[in-house]
Amino acid sequence: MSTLNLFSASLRLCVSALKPCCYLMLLFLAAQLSAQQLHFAAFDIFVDSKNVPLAAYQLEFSGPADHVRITGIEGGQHEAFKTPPFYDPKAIQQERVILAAFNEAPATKLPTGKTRVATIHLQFTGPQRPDFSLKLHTAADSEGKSISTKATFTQRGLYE
Amino acid sequence: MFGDDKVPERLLAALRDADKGRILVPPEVDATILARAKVNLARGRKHIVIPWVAAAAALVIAAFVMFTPTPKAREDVNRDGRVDIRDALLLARKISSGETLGSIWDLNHDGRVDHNDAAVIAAQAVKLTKGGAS
Repeated sequence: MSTLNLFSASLRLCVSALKPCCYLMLLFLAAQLSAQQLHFAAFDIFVDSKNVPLAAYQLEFSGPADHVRITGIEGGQHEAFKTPPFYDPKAIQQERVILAAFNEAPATKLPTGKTRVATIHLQFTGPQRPDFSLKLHTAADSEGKSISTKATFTQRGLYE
Repeated sequence: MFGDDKVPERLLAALRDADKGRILVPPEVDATILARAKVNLARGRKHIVIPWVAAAAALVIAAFVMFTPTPKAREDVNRDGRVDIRDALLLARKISSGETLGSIWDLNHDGRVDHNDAAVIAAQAVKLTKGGAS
């Protein structure tokens, strides 16, 4: 066997041995990139007051601090809650916000049933969507009395 | 350790002598010791009372703090002990109804009571510094 052949065989051996390492490295890099990837999403917030006209609500939306940043807040669908709700401006660029709104219109002009009261825009990092939580603080009818309601949220869109 | 060779002879003799007879203590000495002991005991009783007095005082203070109603915030319109959006709604309703409201409701100190004062309550209700529920 000539020296050239020996060198070629050694090279082939080295390359075949390095292949799995290269694949592993690529996988690791892909995982790192995925973890760093920034996603933007919009979450619609709903309050269901059943058959009672909803005049006021206050709720808290939060996500894991190290992955989520709130970027914007919009009003809801119904005319009574179309303007953006009250929130602490400090909540922007944080992971937690308290939303509240009221409307003193007569009961006939207030929403009943499940209604979208706000939309929260946020960004998050990581390959998977983090877990978010929504806690209803209070809700009231047109007389200002506390009513039993249910607050939910759905993810409207995901933008890379 | 108990070997007699280490104990001085004079001490041994003195101990033997001491054991031979009773030492008579004069009754005046007895009486003086007894009187002083009584005085000391009386002082001790006073020291025992002080912690009990302190504990009772602490209990009274704790009861006062627990059962004295805390002054409610002006913004707590419905007086339920917390400031939330329902208080803002109630104040807004009062303003809209044309009810005469005192300057106590001028929460933004602009010299008049209007819907901006209700907004002050709403802003307070959503403040994040409260750490959760308002």
